[in-house]
Amino acid sequence: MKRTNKTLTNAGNFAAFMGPSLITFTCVLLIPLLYGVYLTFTNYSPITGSQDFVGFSNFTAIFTDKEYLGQFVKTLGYVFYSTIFCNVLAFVLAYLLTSNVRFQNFLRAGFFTPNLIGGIVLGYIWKFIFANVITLIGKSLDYGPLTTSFLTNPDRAIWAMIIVTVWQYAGYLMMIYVAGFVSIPRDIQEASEIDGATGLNKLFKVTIPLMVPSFIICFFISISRGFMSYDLNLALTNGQPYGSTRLAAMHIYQKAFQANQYGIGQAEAIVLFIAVAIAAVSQVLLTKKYEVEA
Amino acid sequence: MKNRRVKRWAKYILVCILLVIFIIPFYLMIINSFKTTQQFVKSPFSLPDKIDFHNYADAFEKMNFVNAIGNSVIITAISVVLILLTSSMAAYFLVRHKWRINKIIFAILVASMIVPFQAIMIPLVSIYGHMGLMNSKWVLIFMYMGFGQAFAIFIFHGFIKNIPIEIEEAALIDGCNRLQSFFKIVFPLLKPVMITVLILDVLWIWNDYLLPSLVLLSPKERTLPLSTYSFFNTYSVDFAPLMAGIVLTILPVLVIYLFCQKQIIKGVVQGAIK
Amino acid sequence: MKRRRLLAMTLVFAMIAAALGACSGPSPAAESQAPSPAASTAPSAAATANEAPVKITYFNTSAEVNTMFENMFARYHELHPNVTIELIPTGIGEGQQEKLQSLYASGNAPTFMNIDPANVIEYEDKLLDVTMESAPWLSLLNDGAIEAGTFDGKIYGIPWSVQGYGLLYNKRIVDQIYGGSFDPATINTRDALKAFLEKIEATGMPATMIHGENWSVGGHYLTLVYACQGPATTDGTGFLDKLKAGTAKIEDSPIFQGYMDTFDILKAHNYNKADPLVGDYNADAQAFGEGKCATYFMGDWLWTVMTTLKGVDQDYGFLPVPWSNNPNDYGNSQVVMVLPKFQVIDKSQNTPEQQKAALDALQWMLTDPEGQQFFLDAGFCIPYKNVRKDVKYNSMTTSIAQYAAAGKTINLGCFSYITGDAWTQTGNLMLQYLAGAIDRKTLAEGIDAYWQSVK
Repeated sequence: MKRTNKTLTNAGNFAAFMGPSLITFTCVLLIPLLYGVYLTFTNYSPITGSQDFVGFSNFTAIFTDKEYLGQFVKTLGYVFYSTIFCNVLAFVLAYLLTSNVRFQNFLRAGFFTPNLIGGIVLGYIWKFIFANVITLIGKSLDYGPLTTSFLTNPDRAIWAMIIVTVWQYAGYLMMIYVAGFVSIPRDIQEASEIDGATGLNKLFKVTIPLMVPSFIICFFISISRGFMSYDLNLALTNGQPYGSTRLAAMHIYQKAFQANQYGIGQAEAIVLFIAVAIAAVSQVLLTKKYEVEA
Repeated sequence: MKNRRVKRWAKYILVCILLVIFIIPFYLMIINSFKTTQQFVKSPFSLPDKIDFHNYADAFEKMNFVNAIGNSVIITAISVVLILLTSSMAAYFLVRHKWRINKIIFAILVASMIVPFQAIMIPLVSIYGHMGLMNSKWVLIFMYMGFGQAFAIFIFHGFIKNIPIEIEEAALIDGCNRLQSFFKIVFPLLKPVMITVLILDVLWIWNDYLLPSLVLLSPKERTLPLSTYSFFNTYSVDFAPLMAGIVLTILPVLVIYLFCQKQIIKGVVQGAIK
Repeated sequence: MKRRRLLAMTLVFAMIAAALGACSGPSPAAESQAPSPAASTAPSAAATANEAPVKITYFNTSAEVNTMFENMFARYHELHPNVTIELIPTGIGEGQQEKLQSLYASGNAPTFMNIDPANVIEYEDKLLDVTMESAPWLSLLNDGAIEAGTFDGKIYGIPWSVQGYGLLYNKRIVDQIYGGSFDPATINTRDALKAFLEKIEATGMPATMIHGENWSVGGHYLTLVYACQGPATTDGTGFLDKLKAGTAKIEDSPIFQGYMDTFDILKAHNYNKADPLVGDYNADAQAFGEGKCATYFMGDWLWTVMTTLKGVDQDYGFLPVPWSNNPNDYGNSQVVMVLPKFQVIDKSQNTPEQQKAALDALQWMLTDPEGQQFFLDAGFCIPYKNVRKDVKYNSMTTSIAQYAAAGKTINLGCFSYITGDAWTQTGNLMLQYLAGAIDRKTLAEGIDAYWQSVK
């Protein structure tokens, strides 16, 4: 009797707590995704609308797309550097801005503003900065590499992407780190101070371990956003100079919609998704081991 | 003592320098919204000769601002409230019941955050289009609810773990059911996180362009970002009024953000007292 | 990028002579054609006056005139209250292709649209075959124009605008340097162009400017190589077919070598030499308009930016871009003139009533004086015989019209048959060449490799 009661309560709770969430998620994300996967096994294109089964041919075709591998590797490099720099900066900012500096609120808002602008205006403003402001500095210091725009040199253009990504997301991640800092119970902090922990010591032994959830979240966000980066890519470089900064997502998009090879583009997207999912989810599972419950 | 003072000032100066770098593009956008595109292209850093609101008036009219902001507000507000409610509940459940199925669900949610939107875009519009469910802000809200689950649950999950179960045990023993325990005890403690997620989601939905452009087809349904199309030409953009339009678009969010910052501080204070 | 294909062209050679009727201002022999009765503005005209309400949608890829179309549709609604036309606008940076495909995928295909010729071919099966019987007003089109919109023997595309490109020059500067009036007809060989540019440089004025974007150097410049293979569209497409099959290599074409030699000259005198790939359209337009350099490889659509600028010159003309030293070679004394976009009607997801409504709306827009005036006010040149004779076009368009009148235009018809990412890919190669990152042999090999990879 008691057993069935418990099962019923559990089921009831499941429905109440998880119900709306799971239903909307399934209808909006899961089902279209599964349908999308199904479509990669057909010759579907939005234009023709046909859905004849073609087996794995879309996937094997990926291997003939030599550019894809190169761009994927480039994307890896981009994700790596932008994740590291962005998180370090965000963490430092959050740390500085939760230690009761003056005008903290205003400062936090300031760092958050990059997030508010996006798209083409952002791209243009940064293009201008790289082409005119930085070159001005370069010319007056007479330092060769800075006299032409970052964006016109294939090696430096990717660094321009990294710089702008860090700029745009540091404030965003900072928000999450701030919430993390703020949630650390004061009593634990005070206890450690009484025990003699100072500044950096306290930081590494007490604060950081309790911040692991924030790290997990932020790293995950930076990694997945990095791989999926498209809007900034489009606005800032549009793949230029001559396709050297065309990251994975942009390549997929162009393949699917502009080269009219929707099936292959979709297949590449699935492959990208699987690769990143493996990377990111393992990162989450690994770091979860370091989580400390309060 | 002196050391501490110096340290404090050093921190402060460092932050201010960073801030200037961070805020430059934003500053550029604002001062240039008072100039003409020609002036902007020529000398973006110069201050405008006079504060001329003509770009703003232009943007206001061309964007059909009142109608657009109405749509944006409805869609954003309702979506965010629904997301916060449903995802916090779901995250709570996933944390408190460490069942196998919950772990699987969590893994799926986390993995879904990596799905590139382009991969599901066409299937999505195909399914909903053929069901005749396009061009409605309610469908859009439903979609945002679905898309917003993974991220919100992910964040709530991490923070709920920091709430010791002991706090709830007292209430549960007293006969509260899970729902009551959640709303009375856990929910209030989630305030800082909830506000964080609120801000991030508001930002996302308010500024979102692609999904609304696919779902909302008629002019009167357009949200703010969709209404800036009239400043785009085939090869170039009319930047000055566009920037005015963008400033108009983000102003409400900025205000919300500043307001919420206050709430987070309040949350800290309450936490400290506890 | 596809949107750059606004410039994607289809021009049938015969149309050139026809265009002169519309674009060269008061024409001596013209009998001013009164608007045909079918195009009168009386509500009874389109025969939809007292019929059931119809709602149709219009997809526009010419981003700069979204507002123009909106105003047109509002006016049309006043005249025909039962017809409501909703605009589906697109802007740059937004995938126009993506949008259109998603509309089709969701079952909401627009009733009629303004698209590139390459798209017309792509969507052929879904489009209405507009016959002369169903739309007799098409006879008002300039001769040959209708061929441009004909694909596989059926009329899918209705032409509506005419544009051109070549080497733009600033009349004030050039006349000043030549101490009087300069005759553009003297530039018909590469040597003549070289001398011309050097003469300008000698005075300290930068001679020319190349816009560092893939659609300009790849889409516009490189296409000259294909188009000048011969005056017929099939000359161009035949050449491309050989490249695709691998039976021809582009570096073996003297036209390619010639155009690249000319490109080298332009490169040497490029105003943007120091950093050629910046590709800032607004900045380049301003520089040219303010007289910072004398010539610019661009098209007459540049005028729409010029009108927004203050303190810029108003008087421009076009020069050909010669590829050889034989003045009689095709391409040396001609500029490109094209029909970059077409109006098409969807039949796959719209009812016959909606299709008819769209066709009637197009008739009003293109052949009714009131409808036409919207286009003229926006600076477009529309190839219809009954356009008012007293219209004044800007100096750039007028120059193109003069070449047309003289029969000196290049047929870019082959370009409709280039779909996909050709502009981006080959354009990127051209940009590398422009920046000096690769040599001509590598460029040629890259172009060959691209065409061979296209199915």
